[in-house]
Amino acid sequence: MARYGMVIDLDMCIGCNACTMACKAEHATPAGVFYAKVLEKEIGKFPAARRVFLPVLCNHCDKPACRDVCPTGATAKREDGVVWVDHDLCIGCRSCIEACPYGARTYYEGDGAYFKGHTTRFEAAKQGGIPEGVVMKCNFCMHRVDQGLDPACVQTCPTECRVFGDLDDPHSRVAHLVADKKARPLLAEKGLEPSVFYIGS
Amino acid sequence: MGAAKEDVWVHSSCDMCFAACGIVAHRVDGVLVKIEGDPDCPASGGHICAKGQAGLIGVYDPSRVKTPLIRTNPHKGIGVDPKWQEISWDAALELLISKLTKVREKDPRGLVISSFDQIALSYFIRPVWAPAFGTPNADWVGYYCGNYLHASMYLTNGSFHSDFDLDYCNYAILLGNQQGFMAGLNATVTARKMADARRRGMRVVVVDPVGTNAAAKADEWVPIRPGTDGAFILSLIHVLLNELGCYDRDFLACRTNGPYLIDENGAYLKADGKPLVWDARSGAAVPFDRDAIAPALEGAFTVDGKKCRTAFQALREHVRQYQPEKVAETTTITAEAIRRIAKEFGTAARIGSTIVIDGKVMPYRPVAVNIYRGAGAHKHGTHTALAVQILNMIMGAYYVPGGHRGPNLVGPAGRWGPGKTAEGLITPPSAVGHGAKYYNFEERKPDDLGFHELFPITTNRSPMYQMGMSGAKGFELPYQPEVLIVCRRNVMMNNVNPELSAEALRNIPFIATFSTHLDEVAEFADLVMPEAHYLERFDLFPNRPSHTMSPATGYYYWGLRQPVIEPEGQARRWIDVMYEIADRMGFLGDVYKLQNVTLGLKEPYKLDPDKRYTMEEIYDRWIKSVLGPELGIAWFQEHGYYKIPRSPEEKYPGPFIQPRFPIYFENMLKAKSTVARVAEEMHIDWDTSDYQALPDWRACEAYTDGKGGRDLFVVNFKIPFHSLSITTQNPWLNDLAEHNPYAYKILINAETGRRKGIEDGATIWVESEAGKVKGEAKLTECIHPEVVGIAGVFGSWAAGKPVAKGKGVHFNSLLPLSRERIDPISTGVDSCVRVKISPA
Amino acid sequence: MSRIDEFFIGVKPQREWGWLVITYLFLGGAGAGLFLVSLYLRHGWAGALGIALLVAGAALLLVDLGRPERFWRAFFHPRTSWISRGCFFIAAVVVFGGVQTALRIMGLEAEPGTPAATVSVVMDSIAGAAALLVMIYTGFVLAPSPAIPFWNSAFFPMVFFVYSLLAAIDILILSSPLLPGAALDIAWLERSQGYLAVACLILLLSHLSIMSGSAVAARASIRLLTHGRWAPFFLGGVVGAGLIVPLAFFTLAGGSDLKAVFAVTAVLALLRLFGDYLFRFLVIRAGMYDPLL
Ligand SMILES: Nc1nc2c(c(=O)[nH]1)N[C@H]1C(S)=C(S)[C@@H](COP(=O)(O)OP(=O)(O)OC[C@H]3O[C@@H](n4cnc5c(=O)[nH]c(N)nc54)[C@H](O)[C@@H]3O)O[C@H]1N2
Ligand SMILES: Nc1nc2c(c(=O)[nH]1)N[C@H]1C(S)=C(S)[C@@H](COP(=O)(O)OP(=O)(O)OC[C@H]3O[C@@H](n4cnc5c(=O)[nH]c(N)nc54)[C@H](O)[C@@H]3O)O[C@H]1N2
Ligand code: SF4
Ligand code: SF4
Ligand code: SF4
Ligand code: SF4
Ligand code: SF4
Ligand SMILES: [Mo]
Repeated sequence: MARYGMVIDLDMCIGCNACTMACKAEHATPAGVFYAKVLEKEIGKFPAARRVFLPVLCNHCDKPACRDVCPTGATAKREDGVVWVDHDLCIGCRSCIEACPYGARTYYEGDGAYFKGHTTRFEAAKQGGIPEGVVMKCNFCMHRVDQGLDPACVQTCPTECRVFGDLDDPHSRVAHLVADKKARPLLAEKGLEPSVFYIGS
Repeated sequence: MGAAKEDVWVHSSCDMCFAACGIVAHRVDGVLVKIEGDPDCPASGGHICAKGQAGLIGVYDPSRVKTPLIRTNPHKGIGVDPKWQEISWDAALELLISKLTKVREKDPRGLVISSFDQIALSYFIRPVWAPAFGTPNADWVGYYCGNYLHASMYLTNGSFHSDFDLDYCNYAILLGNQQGFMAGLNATVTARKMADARRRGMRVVVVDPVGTNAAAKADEWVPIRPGTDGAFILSLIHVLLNELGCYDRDFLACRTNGPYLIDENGAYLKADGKPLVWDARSGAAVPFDRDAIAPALEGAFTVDGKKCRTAFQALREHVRQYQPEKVAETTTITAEAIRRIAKEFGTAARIGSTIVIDGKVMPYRPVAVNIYRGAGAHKHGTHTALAVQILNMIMGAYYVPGGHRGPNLVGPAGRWGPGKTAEGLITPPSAVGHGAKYYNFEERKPDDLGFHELFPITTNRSPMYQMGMSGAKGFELPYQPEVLIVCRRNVMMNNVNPELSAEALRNIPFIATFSTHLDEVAEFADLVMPEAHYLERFDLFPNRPSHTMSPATGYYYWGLRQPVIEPEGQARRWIDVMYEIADRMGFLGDVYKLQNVTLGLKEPYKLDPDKRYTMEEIYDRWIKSVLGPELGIAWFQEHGYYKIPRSPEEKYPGPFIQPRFPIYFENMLKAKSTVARVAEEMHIDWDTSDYQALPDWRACEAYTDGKGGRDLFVVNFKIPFHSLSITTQNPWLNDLAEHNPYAYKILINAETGRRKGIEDGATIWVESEAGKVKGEAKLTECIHPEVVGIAGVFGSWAAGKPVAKGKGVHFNSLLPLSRERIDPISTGVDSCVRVKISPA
Repeated sequence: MSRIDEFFIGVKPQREWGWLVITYLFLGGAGAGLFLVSLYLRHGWAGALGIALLVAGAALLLVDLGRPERFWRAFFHPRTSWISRGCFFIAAVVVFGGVQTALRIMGLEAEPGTPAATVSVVMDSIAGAAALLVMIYTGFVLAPSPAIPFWNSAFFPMVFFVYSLLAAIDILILSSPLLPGAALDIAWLERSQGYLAVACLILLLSHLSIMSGSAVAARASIRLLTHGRWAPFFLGGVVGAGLIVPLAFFTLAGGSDLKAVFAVTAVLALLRLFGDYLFRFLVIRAGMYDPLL
């Protein structure tokens, strides 16, 4: 069985946020909800200072703390490693948010229309399935991946610094990148065994 | 969602910035559900940026203009409600036509058109509709953009934009621009190619006061004091020429005017119109184009008793004054750094080396300095831009693998190419040149709002429009601007302090706009007509093959933009409306006649002045004329892109074209006297000192004035997920900007902030001589200590843009506009301004 | 200070659990504790009060859910989820404890030796065990969190247990004048509080000392409690008013008859309850996530 994963090359990421917006378009996430984000920080002091871009998403951990604390089973892990939230089961207790070290989850209270007091035809068509009062997060674009497509964020990345694939397939690019030691997950010490890895800095 | 009745992907082009990347739009049951990059588009290669991805939500913006509107409140002002009233298209057109008919009878030059809609402007309005109507004033386009740069490009290499070969370049200096980091020209292609080049190990040096996205990824970020780039570049040239003796002798001797002999006044020595060079072989001065000669690049000679030296010799001596030690004080870049960068650059250029590409042997010069807005947007910016081109030329890194190049100097299969002056120097291809005349000037009183004759060495003279309309002393015209038509131009937000722009607009009796939103310009309009959103309209060849099409893709390519959903309300494409107006006013026939020439329509596709065509028919004839009868609109609608591979000669025309590239600008001397005489006729005293044959660094006003405690410079920079003001009303991009640590804030160096007792997150005032703005301070290590940074074109105030309104900080409010504050050669607005900051 | 939802990398405070959850921790713990004590004292009305508090707390949890109408789904994953388990514990206390308490109040105690008595003993033990678990499971909800280092501590179940007991007895003391049924030995109750308070103090301090050697975020949490904005509440409120002051009085007053004065005892009880609530509040609010880079 496949175990899907992603490798992101931080050296090549230019912080353009195309991934952020591609994800928003793909999932019609409500206002204020971002599955894909590009976090920033500064290192060094002027003039030897530099901004660092860190694109983040759900890490689809092999040992997902979010799933373990979930009392309803709304958060589940598929055989292919995709960790996803079934919005119809979620009771909005937010324990998963307290359990996820990666800030990958967002509680959606409602009122997520982008134009105040107006629901666009796009939102009506695509947000229909999103109930209020539940927790949302990246689902590795299951619907795309199941059709053999790359996730939306990967598809659009202008620098091609995001690679998606099957970590269990030794011939896949992700497997190769992870194999040569440079690739590392975030907060490895937490022991959740993420499926998203980073190379470069 | 049940099973969809309709589920299609439609080819089109993005229009969130002018790169016009190919997209495919996913429509399900009439609703646009996703936009992706068109994998078949050589530019996007299937990858589009944040703005392109966010484009779709904009088409569903409820605050879009849906019907024509007419003002009922006669009082015009910033923040004053025009009290719009809906009217029919017919009523709207009748009103507009009556106004237009009046000006046309009185003096057609009284019509002014302002647009940054590249396609409409460069194909249909500027070269065709406006002349047919009879006005020269159709070019009030964006400024403090590339004004400075375009002039220098046309003059040195005949191309419009500045770019460089990311396929082979190994060492790039980005001087005040973010080419390759999702800003700049053809943002997606260059971002992809830049990443590939960096994977290869290309070194990137970013010279910028702000630690931008580009600086973040650069191998070296060199913070520079604003407005001092000219000194930096001239110093690099000095070190290379006079300290390291590192320059491409062959290129300079054979492909530039370096060996041309000049007398003590700087003028060419000529024999029957032809500049002379010193032939080392015969030991005599001979015409530059004589065969089998060995032109001397350096040295001083005496020809018929006249003392003379080569142009290159003059350059070498000229740049001696730019000693790194001295320049370090000006730029805050250390002398060591200047010498090191010069050495690295010179070494990386591998002068003398060649490379074989597709069997063609070509010089290999993998270095480039690229300049765009930032370094150019200053008084004397043209000098800086020319110095940059000289630096590229002395390396021989000019239209060869790895070096500098402009987009499309030559067209496919020689369809267009550069021209040549009697002096053997290059001029822009007519397809690109935008009417540029850099060698023969007219000495008459200007009668256009661009005051062309006063600025012979430039193409974009937009800032002069504003001065002309504000009735600046000495800039009166024999007629009054009576009607202004604006489409896709935010003259209120993107120019200078809005109060100054408002003054210009108030002097115009009737203003009509084609608008998607009731933006800051519509606020001053008398009549507003709804423009079709880019996802609802048809545009042919939006990637502008002659001007902006990227040279980096290995192809020439032609695309289209087509409606992917039904237009909202009664929105129409303004080109169509303007043509209908021409028809109703009875000059459409003349439009067609000109159109046949400008689009190069061939039989049997020429337009018959007595017939009427739909725009679609015109587009179809255009396609067939340019690309052959087997193609047409239908083909493009189905396939999206038509591509022709570029041969090595077309990718790297440098070694294969005749005309030479000037490193010495003798024409400036002629321009100087012309301009002096034009100024005389205008009865204005005018400083012509910038017209000199070799570039210098001169301090812009701001550099010397720190009055009233204004001890800091303010600079503006683009961010990858917003373009200009057009994306600010997009709620997704706004959401992103609100979460971003920098976008909507005022950047201040952490140390400077501490010194001034300003805390991170504090609300502060930034105040210049022109105006003041308020915003949230962001203390950062990533900005020059003397600089305040404000991103983008934010801080909208129009009620018609509820999402954008009040978000971020409006930079342009700080910009003054005056004769002293423009670049005297290019008219570029000086964006170098001193400010003081204080807690609010 | 930049907004916490800003896209920057750094230590970030948890913001999901607020006063509703916090108050539940307090009421739930105290209620369960009180029920446990009531079993020991065989005091029906005390048990009733305990269950009432527990139910009230649970009600707040319900309100806190984004989707209260789906609350029953929370029973689905006891295998891995402590929250799920908690639901069963609470239910057990309410059902078994409820029946028993009702019988006791109605004075329907079964004759010793009869099968009814055995049943009642079994029910009591189940309810008692459940009550004990309710007192500590919230500690197990926090302790394993990989996200919030300040919570990763085996002390939490213990602290919560002791604090629950402390609160339970304080409530008993305060309610004693009004509480129907057999009179209570206040002096004895007050004495037990002394020992519990000491236990709390020891557990608290050891937790802090361990955490101060732990992850970035944990240290940030501690800074917040000991030097930061909340130092006055934590040191002054939780430690000072909630534990030290009552303890001091308890020891200083020695055998003086002041202790016999109910008003004084009541004030001490209130101080401790205040400290207890504040403790739960600060523990939750001081939770912080580690920076990603
Ligand atoms: N994302 C995005 N892409 C765009 C656009 C957009 O708005 N957004 N606009 C398009 C247009 S119209 C154009 S013209 C191009 C422009 O493309 P660029 O010229 O690359 O635009 P900027 O990113 O603003 O680059 C200007 C840089 O110069 C710096 N700067 C300011 N003053 C000085 C100075 O005195 N010296 C030096 N060395 N640097 C200075 C600024 O900090 C900024 O980083 O981009 C095009 N592409
Ligand atoms: N602060 C700051 N100022 C700048 C710049 C900057 O980076 N920062 N950049 C400078 C540069 S490089 C340039 S080129 C100029 C550009 O100057 P402009 O071209 O004036 O700037 P835009 O923001 O593109 O203005 C476009 C206007 O058209 C409207 N619009 C958007 N889409 C459509 C459409 O489909 N149809 C119609 N009819 N209207 C539409 C928008 O509401 C907006 O008001 O700005 C310059 N000024
Ligand atoms: S799209 Fe790619 S380059 Fe752009 S921010 Fe995301 S990961 Fe970085
Ligand atoms: S990143 Fe967080 S949400 Fe995603 S699987 Fe891991 S623990 Fe769960
Ligand atoms: S919020 Fe939803 S997904 Fe998260 S733990 Fe509770 S039920 Fe599970
Ligand atoms: S994988 Fe899909 S859902 Fe996850 S961040 Fe990328 S686009 Fe969003
Ligand atoms: S670069 Fe410009 S044209 Fe291309 S996708 Fe981005 S916004 Fe659209
Ligand atoms: Mo521009």
